[in-house]
Amino acid sequence: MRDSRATRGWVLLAVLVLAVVVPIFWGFSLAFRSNEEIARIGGLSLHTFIPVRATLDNFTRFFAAVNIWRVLGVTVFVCLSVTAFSLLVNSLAAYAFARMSFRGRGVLFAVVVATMILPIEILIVPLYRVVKDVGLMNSLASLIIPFAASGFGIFFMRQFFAGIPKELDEAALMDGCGRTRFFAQVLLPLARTPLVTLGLIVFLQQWDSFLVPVTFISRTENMVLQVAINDLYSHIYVNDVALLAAGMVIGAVPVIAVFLFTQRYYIAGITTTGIKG
Amino acid sequence: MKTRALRLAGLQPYLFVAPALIVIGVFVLYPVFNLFYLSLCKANILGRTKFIGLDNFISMLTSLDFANSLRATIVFMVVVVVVQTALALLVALLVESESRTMGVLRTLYFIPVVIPFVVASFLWKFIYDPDVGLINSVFQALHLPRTGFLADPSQALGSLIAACVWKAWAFFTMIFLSGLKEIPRELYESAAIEGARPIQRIWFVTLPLLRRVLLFVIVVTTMDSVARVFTPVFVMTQGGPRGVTDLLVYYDWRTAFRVGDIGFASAVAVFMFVFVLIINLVQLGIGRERDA
Repeated sequence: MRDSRATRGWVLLAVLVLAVVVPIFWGFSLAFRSNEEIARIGGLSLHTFIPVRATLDNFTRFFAAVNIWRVLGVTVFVCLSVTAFSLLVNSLAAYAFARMSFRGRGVLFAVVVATMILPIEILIVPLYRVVKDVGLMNSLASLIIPFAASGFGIFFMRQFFAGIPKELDEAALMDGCGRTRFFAQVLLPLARTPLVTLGLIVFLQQWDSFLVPVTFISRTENMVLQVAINDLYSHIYVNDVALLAAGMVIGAVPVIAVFLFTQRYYIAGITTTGIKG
Repeated sequence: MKTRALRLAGLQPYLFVAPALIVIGVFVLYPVFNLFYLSLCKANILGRTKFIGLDNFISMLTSLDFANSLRATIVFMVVVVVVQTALALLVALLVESESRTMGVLRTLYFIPVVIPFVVASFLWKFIYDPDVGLINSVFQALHLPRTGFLADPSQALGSLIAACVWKAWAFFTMIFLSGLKEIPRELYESAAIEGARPIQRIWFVTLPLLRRVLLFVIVVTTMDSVARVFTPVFVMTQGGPRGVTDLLVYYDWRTAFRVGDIGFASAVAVFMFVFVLIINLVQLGIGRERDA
């Protein structure tokens, strides 16, 4: 009985892994073969998945086609800026909501939490107008400033701050430590784990971001990676599967690497909050 | 001196929340109000607006394109909610007991969730490709006819759904697994003593205790399947062929940014907004009822 259940478990896992890994492996293998070779694939054999003649040529071509250093620089800059801003701005607000009493706290917090249900997809049209009106269109700031704070970030950090004993604040304030210093030197170090989790969620979300940059940025020099990949496709390289596959690998490998090293935080984050990247 | 310090101390909480509230106010709350206003206007992308009342909603409700988009969205939503939730729950129930092996393979299993949606969309675009795609290679080996998938109007929506389910199901499996972990072992033991078969155990012990998580998953999936599908549609099909994958978020976007009709697009967005609101109120309602 026990044995058959274990076997069933393994069979199931094997099926799952096949369903997940095989498509990815196949897709990534396209990046290492020429278009002529890809065109000859047909039927099933070892060479459906493993290049006959492996080449890095597609990556060279991809790097040249998208001005790779510029694109990666812009992408990393945007992702890190949004992450840094949102950690600071959301924690500050979360601290006040969790541990200070002031008039309007309940209403303001309710409004902040209510914004969590609004998908960006629904607000893209009026957001476009605001970004245009404040003169940020086509700038990297249009990808950063609107996302410097979020209902989710505030809610997530508040949950953590609210769990720290109140006596800590009182003791610190009694000793003449100001609120700001207390926040920076006592609370933030305590909050390392939730900060890392939130930072990861925000970073991966930004790396994945497509709707906003594809709508706000039309100038090539400010394109982020995901938009640049799509841009290649929609312009001259429609049938260049090998080139786009190289783009896919470049687009996915950094996040897969980040995930491998931080999955403990990441999975803890999603299972406690139910928010995915 | 002292009163001034006190007054400053009273202001301090507001200074702490100010940066966040300004950002949320300007880039979330103002757009929400603006969205409703724009939906009542004739507006183009350049910014000229003229109040026209409910005209956009009237033309929306009589538009064949909107009807088509709404129909596609509902089909997509219902199929994704049912299939993806069932799949995620099934996998969670089956691997629960093998949590050690799951730990090892979890990383691989989770990769579709973490890769960017643009990447996943291109990946599936190639997998479905009529000439070089993986599935057609398999079909060829099995002597099955070549199939169009995304290029075939009768298959495109289903193909899009499969790709989206592939991307997200591991996420919801993980949510179910964390819910299953909360169920006390003793309940299973007493069920076993009472002579419950595995199926009965799942039906009478696991599912009732998992209802809260199940509700959460269904609500999130419903929202995601309506709102978070812009990227796959944009990359894989651009709404085609013949509009069969023209889901509301994409229809909204192209009406605004390709056609340039901001007012009409805003009416579509208001429609989605109301839908999202209703879903959330239903969740709150059911959640309350359960608590009582």
